[in-house]
Amino acid sequence: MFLELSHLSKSFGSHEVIDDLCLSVEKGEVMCLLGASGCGKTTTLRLVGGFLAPDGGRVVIDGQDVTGMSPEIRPTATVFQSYALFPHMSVVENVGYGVRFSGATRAEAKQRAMEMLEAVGLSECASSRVQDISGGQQQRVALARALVLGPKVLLLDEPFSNLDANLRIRMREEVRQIQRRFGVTMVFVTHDREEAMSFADRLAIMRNGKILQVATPREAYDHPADLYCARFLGHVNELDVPGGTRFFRDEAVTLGKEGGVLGVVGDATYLGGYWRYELLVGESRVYVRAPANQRYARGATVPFVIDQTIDV
Amino acid sequence: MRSTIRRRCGSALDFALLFVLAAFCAVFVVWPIGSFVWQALPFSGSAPNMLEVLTQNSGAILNSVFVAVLVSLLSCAIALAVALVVTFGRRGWASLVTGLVTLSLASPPFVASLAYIELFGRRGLVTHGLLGLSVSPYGWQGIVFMEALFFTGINVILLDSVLERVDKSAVSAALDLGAPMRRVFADIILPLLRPGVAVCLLLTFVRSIADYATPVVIGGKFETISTQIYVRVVGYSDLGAAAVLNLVLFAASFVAFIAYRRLGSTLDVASKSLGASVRPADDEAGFRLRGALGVFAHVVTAAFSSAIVAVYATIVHAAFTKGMGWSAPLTLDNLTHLMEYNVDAIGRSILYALLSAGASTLIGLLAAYFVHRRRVAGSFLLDFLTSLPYTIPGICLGLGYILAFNRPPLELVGTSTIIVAVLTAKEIAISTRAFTAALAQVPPELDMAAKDLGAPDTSVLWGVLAPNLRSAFGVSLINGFTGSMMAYAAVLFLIVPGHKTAIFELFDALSGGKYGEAAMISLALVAITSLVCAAFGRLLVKRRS
Amino acid sequence: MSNIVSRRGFIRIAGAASLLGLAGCSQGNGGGSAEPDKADTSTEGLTSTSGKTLKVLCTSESYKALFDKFTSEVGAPVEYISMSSGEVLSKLKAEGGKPAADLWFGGGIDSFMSAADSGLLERVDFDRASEFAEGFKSEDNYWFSKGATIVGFIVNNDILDEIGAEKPASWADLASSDYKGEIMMSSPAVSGTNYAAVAAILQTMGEDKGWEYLTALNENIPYYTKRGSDPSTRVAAGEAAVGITYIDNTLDDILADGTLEIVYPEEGMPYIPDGVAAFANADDTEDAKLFIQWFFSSDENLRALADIDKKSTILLALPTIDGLELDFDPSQLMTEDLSRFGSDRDATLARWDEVTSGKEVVSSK
Repeated sequence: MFLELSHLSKSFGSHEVIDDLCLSVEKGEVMCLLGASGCGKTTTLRLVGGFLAPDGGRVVIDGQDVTGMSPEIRPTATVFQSYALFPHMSVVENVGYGVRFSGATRAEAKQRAMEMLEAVGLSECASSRVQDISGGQQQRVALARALVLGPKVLLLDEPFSNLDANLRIRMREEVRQIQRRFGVTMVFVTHDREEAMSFADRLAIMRNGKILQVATPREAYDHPADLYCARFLGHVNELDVPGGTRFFRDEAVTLGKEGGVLGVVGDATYLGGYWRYELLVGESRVYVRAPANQRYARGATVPFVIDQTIDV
Repeated sequence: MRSTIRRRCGSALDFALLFVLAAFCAVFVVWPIGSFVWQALPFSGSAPNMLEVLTQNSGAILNSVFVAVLVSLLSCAIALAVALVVTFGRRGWASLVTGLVTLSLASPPFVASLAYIELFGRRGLVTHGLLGLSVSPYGWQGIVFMEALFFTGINVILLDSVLERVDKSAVSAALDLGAPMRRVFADIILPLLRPGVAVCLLLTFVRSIADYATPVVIGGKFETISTQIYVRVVGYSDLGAAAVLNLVLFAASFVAFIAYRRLGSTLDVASKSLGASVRPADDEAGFRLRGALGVFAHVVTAAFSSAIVAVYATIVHAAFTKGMGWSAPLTLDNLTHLMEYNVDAIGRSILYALLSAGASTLIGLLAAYFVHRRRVAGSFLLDFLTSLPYTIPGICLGLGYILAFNRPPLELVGTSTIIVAVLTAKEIAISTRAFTAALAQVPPELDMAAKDLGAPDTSVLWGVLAPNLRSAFGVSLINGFTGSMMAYAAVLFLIVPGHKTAIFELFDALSGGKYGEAAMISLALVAITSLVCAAFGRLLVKRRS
Repeated sequence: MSNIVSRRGFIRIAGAASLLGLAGCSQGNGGGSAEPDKADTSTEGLTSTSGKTLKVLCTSESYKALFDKFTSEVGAPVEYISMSSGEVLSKLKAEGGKPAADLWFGGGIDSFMSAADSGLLERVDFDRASEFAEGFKSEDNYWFSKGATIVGFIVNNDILDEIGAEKPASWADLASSDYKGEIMMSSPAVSGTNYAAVAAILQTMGEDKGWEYLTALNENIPYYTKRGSDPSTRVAAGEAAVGITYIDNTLDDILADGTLEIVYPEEGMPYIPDGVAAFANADDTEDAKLFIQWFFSSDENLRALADIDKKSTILLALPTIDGLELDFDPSQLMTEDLSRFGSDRDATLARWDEVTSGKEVVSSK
């Protein structure tokens, strides 16, 4: 394994934030730490980056135990949520800043910074002040500043949370492209499931300082480790049927197909390309999806079949 | 390989900086102050009966506390009103008041006291000339008035910086929710200001209780701890009794320090959360000074401004007249005298003040960084030590320096070094506060990012933090410079022939009744201080696109 | 009666001085001539070889001309700073026997006596030392006096009119309730001038009557100021009617506007010799000694001093100076036993503290 976290634990005072956490990340993989606020995902990132020292456990990168290494010599680089760009330096100075500490001369540092800016498509604003460029550009500067050092592992803390919705999607793609081009191993933290699923090779879903499940987005979505994981990645319907309780996703039904269950249509919402119906089944309430051409009136009784259940 | 060596050097440098800070505190704070306090202890030989000294001076101690409490309350109330006008008032008026506030910092309080006597004394222009009264200006009222006037300036600057940080979106939200202006003030602004006001109260209390010059000039029969210390030292050469009285001030400053630390941390938290919030554009609706509050703030500000103008008008008048009083004939003699006799001393003062302003800024930056940012082991102690010299009377500090440095290993008495050192020690408290407040504004991610990129600690400090602390550099340099130019009691015993400073000549002229010459020296000091502060003040102006 | 005593006192001083002068070098250690007419040339051989700078603590900045003269004639450059004698004494004690200055020029001799007793002063022997009047130098040549500070009253007629009081003519007048709260005096602990007043009153009136008087006077004094110059400047500023102050021609400046007047009290004026001494164990003792020798050995120098100080009280110390005349009647001086100034100081101040306690510290209402 390229990045190996084994039995990490960390407490702040009497509050245990990370509890015996283990995680392996492969080389070139994008791993997402996903969880609600306070689950310990940012703390984990800080432990990997060396900003916090674990109370127990080890961090190994590329076969080297880096647990005791301070951030400046650890082969990781972090892109902060706020980007933490140096406000008194220009774009190129920001990017070249770390290069100087690897023993490069001022000219070399500048050259490598320019190359990196080229690679992220920012060479035209090299001499701009960081306050004068857009949020997306700032994001790329922060990324370039980290990547220029050729880190073995790139750490990103809520990388897209400061961007508006459209820009967020575009940046996600751009960062993914850059990641592929450099083949860098990435660990990023988010609480946004859509971001996690669209960006990560694998997810690590966290709760109360523990990892509940590590899996590809699809695996995690379809075969969640438990109900918490299941609900974190999307809405889960719960329906009592003869033989027990069934859990299923909104889209895992075929509406209008006989032989299953009968539901009465409540609210209907058109979400662009598909309908989302509220169905009352006895005492239970479920939400299901149907194609745009399947229109049911409120109060209509509709049969449906559950195609796939979630086993937890 | 090269980078490894660099890093090693970096951490060695980091250690060296911490060592500089610790060594400065040990050598120039602990040792001299300890040497002086030693005089009070039972086994030192010169020790007086501690209880006896305290009971004999209980009146003076109560007086000091009484005045300090009044001055703190009064000067904070005035400062709050003035700061509101400066922050929210009409632009032209606000910048005029800002100018006057800065001016008020540029002359020592005992010079202002002179003006006070000429204005409000028994033959004062206002009390006698205009109102026909014949009242004595001497007493606690005079001390309270003068100290309040003088300490208001620094409080305005402090409160203004806090007001600047008040989140305008919170104000907008309150207005949006239908709150009238006065309620916005009471419910939003005042609570956010509370830690800042508390800090002002504490700093003023400590400064007032240690102030010697004002009570000695206009206290009259009203004795304070500081004047008693002076009489014990100068009249009776009784260092032991002086040291015992100094212990009282020590206790006061320790209590203030503890309170300050607790408040200081809430202040940091407040500003951190505010700094993170997104502010609306400048032209959006915001807090306006209106109604009773506005009238009150403007009236207080106008009164404060007139007092400052009156003080300086008196000084200017005295500088260009012969003899005393308001009918004295005009003359340029004082200017001639200044050019003939005082130029050397003024030049020396500027040099000392620049050196100590630079040194206290450096030490203050290191202290703020190691104590508040890095939280190194022993932070509490370091923090206390850097704030200590500010809170004890200059005369005690100066005597401590003589006692500590009149023999090997560090025989510094008679050198310029000892003067720069004592001036530096006296100002590091304010420098540290300025840098601490400014550091709280710099997000901690910046340090992390720099370290993450491979920067050693020292590079983080110089390359990343320092450039973002311009305003703190400005505040620290201005304070260090003016403080050092005005310092009298601290250097009284350390100045040797050949190292005379301008404030000495000023005090001499004042003591000799040569008010004209004294006023002229003050004017020169004000002019120089203003010029230098204007230069440092450029640091305060943030770079804007 | 008191006038007679005073006059006799002065005659005694002057007589003693001239007697000693005639007696030649019996007191001084030097063996040279003490003839007054030779004094002007006796500084010629003096040359500084120390290569150091003489550092002086003096009472006023105005001595610059005198120090410049020393530098040009003897060679050593001079740097100086002014300090009150109380400050000098505390500084000396804090310095623990390693003074940062070399020469002490001016200040009440009570402080000089105290410093000499603590071994902080250097003995300086020179020919003319023998010519000093009794009480105007230490017996063993540890300090010398360069004149005396005379104490009298300064009154503000404007304020006197306002309170409807007569101009006080005597010390006895000051105890009158007419002047309640209108008299300015410095604390004798801080001001040598006012110490002289207290000491002279005690010596003249006797301990019992003296303290009785001081207690009565205390009733009229609102508070004691902490600097010797305060009484004159505050009376000048119209803050009080009467000030107990040093009297010399430097007051001319503030007397110019006409409302102020000097009063020479009937019972006589206290005075206190003004000291000069070299510090023991100093960096440049050699030049300090040279300065003292140079300064006192030349009438020209002493006349220069009289010119700067605007007073000729140096004649009280060295009656043999040519070309100077006292500008007041020495019979107006009180009779003082100067030798007791130093030894009585602690006891007197302690008693004074007691008598005036409750005066200095008044709690706020």
